[in-house]
Amino acid sequence: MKKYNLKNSISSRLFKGVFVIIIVNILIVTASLVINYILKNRSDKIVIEYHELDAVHELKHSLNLFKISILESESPTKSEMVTYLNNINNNITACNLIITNNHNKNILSDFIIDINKLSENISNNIIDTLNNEKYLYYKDLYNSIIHNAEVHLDTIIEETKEEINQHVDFFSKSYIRSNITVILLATLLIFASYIWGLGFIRKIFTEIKILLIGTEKYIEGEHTIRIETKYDDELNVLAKSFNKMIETINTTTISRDYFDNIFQSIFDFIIVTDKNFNILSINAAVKNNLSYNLEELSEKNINLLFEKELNITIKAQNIVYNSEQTLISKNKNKIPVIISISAIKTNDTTTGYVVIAHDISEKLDNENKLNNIRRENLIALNEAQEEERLRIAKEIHDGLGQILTAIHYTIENKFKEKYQNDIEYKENIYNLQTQIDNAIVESKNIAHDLIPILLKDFGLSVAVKNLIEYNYKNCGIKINFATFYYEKRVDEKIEKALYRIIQEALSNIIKHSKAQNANIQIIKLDDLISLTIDDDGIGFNPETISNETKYRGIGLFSMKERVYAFNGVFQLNSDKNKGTEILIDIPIK
Amino acid sequence: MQKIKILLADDHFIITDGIIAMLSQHKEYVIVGEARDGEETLTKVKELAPDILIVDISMPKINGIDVVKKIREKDSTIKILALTQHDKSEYIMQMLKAGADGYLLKNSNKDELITALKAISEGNKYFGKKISDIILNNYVSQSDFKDEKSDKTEILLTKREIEIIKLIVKDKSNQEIADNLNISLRTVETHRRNIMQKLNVKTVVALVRYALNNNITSL
Repeated sequence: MKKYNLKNSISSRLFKGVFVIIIVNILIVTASLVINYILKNRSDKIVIEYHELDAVHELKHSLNLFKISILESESPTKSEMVTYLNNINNNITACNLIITNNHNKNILSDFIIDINKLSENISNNIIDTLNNEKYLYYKDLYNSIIHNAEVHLDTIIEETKEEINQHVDFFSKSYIRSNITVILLATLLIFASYIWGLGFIRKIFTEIKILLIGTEKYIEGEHTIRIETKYDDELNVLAKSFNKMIETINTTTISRDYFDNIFQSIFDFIIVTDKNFNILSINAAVKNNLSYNLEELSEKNINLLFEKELNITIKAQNIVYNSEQTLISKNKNKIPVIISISAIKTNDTTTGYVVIAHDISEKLDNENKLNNIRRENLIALNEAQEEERLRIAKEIHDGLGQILTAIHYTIENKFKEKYQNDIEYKENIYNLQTQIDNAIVESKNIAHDLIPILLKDFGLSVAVKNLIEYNYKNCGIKINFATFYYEKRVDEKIEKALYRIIQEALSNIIKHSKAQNANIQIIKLDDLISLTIDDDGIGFNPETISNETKYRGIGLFSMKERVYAFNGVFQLNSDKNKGTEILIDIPIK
Repeated sequence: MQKIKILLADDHFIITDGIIAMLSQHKEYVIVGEARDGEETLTKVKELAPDILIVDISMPKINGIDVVKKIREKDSTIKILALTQHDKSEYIMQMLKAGADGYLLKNSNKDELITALKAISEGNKYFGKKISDIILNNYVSQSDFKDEKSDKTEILLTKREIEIIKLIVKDKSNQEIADNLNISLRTVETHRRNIMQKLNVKTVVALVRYALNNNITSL
């Protein structure tokens, strides 16, 4: 992950905030410690004051004992008084140690002076017991001194009490105040932390929300969306990354769209398959021209679309197949195409294939048109040839024949009777007439070989029958000829073509087949005329025909051409020693 | 004696001239007119009402056979002699069917012509020897053909067709038949269609029935 240099990162902000809270916390703790210290100090002073008070009370008590012993007893002895005094002095020493207050010390020193005056007086003036009359004076004196001392002590007690009261008062006031302060500060801190934290989270939330809205908008299709954030923090980095990501997606998506658009717009049929030739995707040309949608074709084998199964052999590295085929649409329309199949390779392994089929209907149409023109020309040529033959045949048959007949008549009229009695001339005239007869027969034969006039006058059936009768009666092959449902004649041009085919086929059978039997059948169906010619001869291999016997090749070629000229179908089956079979269908209107 | 009126119908002058010359010595015949094509022949027959019409077959506009047919539609008394170079039986038979009384080849000699005219004018038929032979041959070959037909199955089936019928009876598909006979599927389909048409059957059941009834195959 990258390191970002951010001015205002969330982590630094968080750190700063927490740091401030810790500092304030420390301050609060310190304050409470200080307060605690002050309060302890104050309570120590109170304790000291109590000790003072206690000591002063002790002192007052010892003084009271002394006072009672002197003033209340009948005869206080000197030793008793000294004992009491010593007791007082001990207490004074204790007080002196404890009392700290200067003013009280002064008062105590006054008290000490009084007591010292009393003890001096006692040691100097008193010998035995005070209850002597002579000591009455001292008794009063001592009373007043004690009384004075008592006053001092009371003053100290009063002052100490006053001080204690002051301390207690201060202590309780300080205690409440410090509590309030600490609570107040803590509350303030909690409150401030809460406000700050809330603001902090809200700010992050706002930014996350912007990111979220941006993402949602993108999902909804607003592909131009860009996210803007105010702060230079991690979320800003996230936003920038998001923007960059969208840009990348957009560029890649756009290029994908772009290629998809090209893929879809291509006029040729494009089919993408997996490696088993199951269809993965198709372009618009396939959808539009074959009326299939992707759902119908998805995962189906590509052969579903073709008339014949693709016979795929790997040729080059990528181009694996290239040939003409026929596509079959959903509603059984046929589209002739030239297809090429290329392998899709990933790391040198074939993962699928791209099959491109180019519509060649137009090309075929043109070829068909050309073929039709050629066919028409061929028909016209054949027709012209037949016409010319017919003309010559008629000319010979009718013209030449008639002239020969006329010569015959002339001889008959002019010479026959005249030389009736001359044996030599009669013989000559007879020979001449025989020669003329022969010439007439010969002219008829020539005419018949050119074109059977019978075909024109009586139709194919008669003409073929006649052909077999006159030309092949004694050829050694039994030729059967039969027609079925062919009472009504068909187009004269078709009849001529079929006649020529039969003539050609018979000529081949006689010359090459060595057959014993041959069948010629003409069967008329509703919309076509079917001619079948077969023999039981030696047969031949149709594929080697052109090399084997050129003449027969030309014969077959002209047969086929005549059939194709009428959009017919020509089938030839033959094999060595299997005979030969020719099946011809010609459509009739 | 009343002369016999003859109308000559032939598009060749040399022929009509020759006939006229041949008949010139025979005074019982008179040539009343000549026609050069079929139409003219019909009008002249109507106009001139000849006793005998000598007519050629190959004529412009309407051929001789059709002319005879048309005349015979109305007139059965006129005698018609076909004088033509056609020696094919079809022409002869067609001409006789149309109603000609005689048929003579043009290269017949004068005596034959006179004999023919005499015969038909007396109400007889006349054909020369040659024509008689042709008619006889035609009759014989036709009866030959008929014999052959009635002898075997009524409809001639080729060896190949019988092979296919046998396989159809065995309930083989077209493809199986093609494989069996080593021919293409299309050839089988063509044969099958032709067989059905030849036998005039519409269903395989009818085809099988035909095959069994005619002993082409057995189950």
